[in-house]
Amino acid sequence: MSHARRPAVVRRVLAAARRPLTAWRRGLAALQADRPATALFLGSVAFYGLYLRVDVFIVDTFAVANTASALAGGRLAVDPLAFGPSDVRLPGLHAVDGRLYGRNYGHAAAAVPLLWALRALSAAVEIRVLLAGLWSLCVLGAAVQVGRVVGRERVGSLAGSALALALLGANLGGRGLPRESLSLLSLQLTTVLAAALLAVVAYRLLRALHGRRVGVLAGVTTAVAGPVGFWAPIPKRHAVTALLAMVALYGFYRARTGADRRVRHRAIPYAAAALTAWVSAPEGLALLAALGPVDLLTARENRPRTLALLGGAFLLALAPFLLTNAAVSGNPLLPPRMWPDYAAGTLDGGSTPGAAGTAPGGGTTGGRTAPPGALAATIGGAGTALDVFLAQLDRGVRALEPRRLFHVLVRSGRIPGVDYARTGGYTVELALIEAAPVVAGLLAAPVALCGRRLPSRAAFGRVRRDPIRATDLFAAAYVAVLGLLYLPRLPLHSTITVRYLVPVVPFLVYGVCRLEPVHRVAEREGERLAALAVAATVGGVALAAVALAGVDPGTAMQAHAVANLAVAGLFAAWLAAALATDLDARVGAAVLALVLAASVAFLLLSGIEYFGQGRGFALPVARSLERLFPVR
Amino acid sequence: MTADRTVALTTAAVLAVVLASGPLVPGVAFTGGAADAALDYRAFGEGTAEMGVEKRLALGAATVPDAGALVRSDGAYRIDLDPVELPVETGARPVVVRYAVGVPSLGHTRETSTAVPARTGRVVRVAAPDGTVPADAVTGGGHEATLVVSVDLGDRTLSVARTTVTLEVER
Repeated sequence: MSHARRPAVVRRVLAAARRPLTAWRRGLAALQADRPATALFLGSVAFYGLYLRVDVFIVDTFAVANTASALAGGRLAVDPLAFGPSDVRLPGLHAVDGRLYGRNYGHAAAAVPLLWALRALSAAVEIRVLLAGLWSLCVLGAAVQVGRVVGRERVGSLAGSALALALLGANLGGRGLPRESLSLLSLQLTTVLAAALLAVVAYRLLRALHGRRVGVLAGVTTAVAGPVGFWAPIPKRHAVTALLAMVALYGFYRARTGADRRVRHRAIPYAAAALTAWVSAPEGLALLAALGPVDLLTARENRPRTLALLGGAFLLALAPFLLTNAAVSGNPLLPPRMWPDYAAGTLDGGSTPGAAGTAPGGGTTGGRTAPPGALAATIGGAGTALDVFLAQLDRGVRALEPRRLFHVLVRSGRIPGVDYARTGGYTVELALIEAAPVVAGLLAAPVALCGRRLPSRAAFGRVRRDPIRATDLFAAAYVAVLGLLYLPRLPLHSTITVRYLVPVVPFLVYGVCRLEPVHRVAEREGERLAALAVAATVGGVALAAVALAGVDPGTAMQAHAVANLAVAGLFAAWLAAALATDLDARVGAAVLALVLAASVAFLLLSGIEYFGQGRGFALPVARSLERLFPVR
Repeated sequence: MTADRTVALTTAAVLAVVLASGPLVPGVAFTGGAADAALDYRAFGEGTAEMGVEKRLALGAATVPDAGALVRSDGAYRIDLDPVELPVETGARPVVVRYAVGVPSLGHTRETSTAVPARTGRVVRVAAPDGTVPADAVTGGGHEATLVVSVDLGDRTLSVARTTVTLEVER
């Protein structure tokens, strides 16, 4: 049959079927064309993979891993539990209608294709050797791309090949991975890929704003920011929601610039907010709460047709979230997380209605006792979700106390109120600046605003139409809303790097990379910065290995905290001075190199040493490094 | 050798090693022993270091009869139902698969069960419980029966399938 004779519907179906293939080809072509992005992605995956530990760091990960396992089997209920610790109740499970459900379904769903692939491949290859092989190929790919970017293609290829083969050899000989670990591993690979993509999106955004060099600096800084890098190989939701938030920021900017100024680009942030809700409903709502007003305020037009299209895109992307909730509880707006926590013994036989309890909104939710009828249930669910969210923001405003802010943002030490018994007595919880000294650069931002007059009404009109200023506004709004959402719960044990705030860290890095002195360093002294950062990292790791030999993890983490605070102070002081004067960019390169080196050293040593003893490293070479360093 | 060829050869070598690690290439072992039986959960404190990941239980879809019969036999009616089949993979604990049949209109309830040992993976076939009902209690052309397949985990029972079928009376 000729193309002309095909019915229109067949042509449409064929075109729709070809679309993913075309998108895949375009994606591959874009990766080849954008070498820094490819290098950044592969390099980030290789970096996180080095300290990837295939074990459970936080006990409620069992709930998400069981959720992924259940989804892979075509079920939403995690009952019966596929695996978990013996004779210990698993936190993170929720009881609905007498069945157990997990959480973070969006994250678990993203892991399912990887889980299927791992299960299929495990029949043909040993998964640990597969991981070692893929890791070596990432190292090779990153070396080749970096070689091409800096004009040393042959050196990159030869060095990368030698390194890849040597590392593969060093990674052979470990014990095989148990099959039970595959759902956990698939979740971990999802977060590693999400964090690597997060760095790429940060690079693309800053490249679009300020050019390639600033983009690369933003990408690398995001990848090695303490909270991002620390949680990248740990299968919590943070890397995934951080990626979606950054995609929203990028889409927001793209929708306001040049030829890309289309409704479909404007829909990207709304779709990202909807998908975030599938992973974590409060974080999705926070993203939407920051996005909606800023988008409407700064958009070129808000015609009813445009708004209808945006609403349609949002609802379409929200469909997985709504369908999951509806299938679990009958109420599309009440995620499993808002149902009672499962406590051992509260769930009888499967035919018994679910354990009654009080949902966060205050209403009793035993079984399907929500308002009758789908519409009433939806309205009730929306009301409950909104009540919970607004109450949380209200608590966030009331939690703006200097003492709390100091311990969350600036200095940890032994924080009053934190239950250190939950972390073996070790002071492993760091404040945000201690974990990510680069964000201290924003303390200098007021210097940039000094002397500027408040804009007039007409000038404000122009400012709000400026794509970059509008993007700044969205970034600031998201940081504020997500910060307020989680502030009442902080500081808290087992957050290590204030993990609840991981999604705002790339936004804060974005803010730092928007400052002009940082551009000067990236553009004029990029090579010096890279060389100094590598040298300082090697020196920092060696110094820590000697200075921290034999100390406990809490002491080691606090040593990093203090060192990072010092580096953060230096960075903020340099930025303040550079914003006010024409300071030599070489000074900035040295200071920024220290910031990057402090972050990388923290990630390597915490991942391999302080939290590495006796853990299940994916790569045997990490175990060798853990034994090589005398720390602990 | 060109840079591209070096990269291609390295990639091929890595993939060859990965392929050789599996059963497709017998006699080659790149891992030093069998997989660990369990993964550890190792947090700080609280004595949680001994918590290990353990395969608990996995179940497939149950095959349950969609019809049955009441067959006349020696002055009574025998309940005739096909067995149920349930794919089961147990973990460290044994489980018991139960097949319960209830005919409310005849006041009849019976169940059968099959124990599945720990660390076993197979399709469990549980025969329908034997049961007869007095002939004078059977009226009309059929009676509804409730079939329940459940798994006894020791500390609680999990309902796997529940269905209602009609038992046709064969006189």
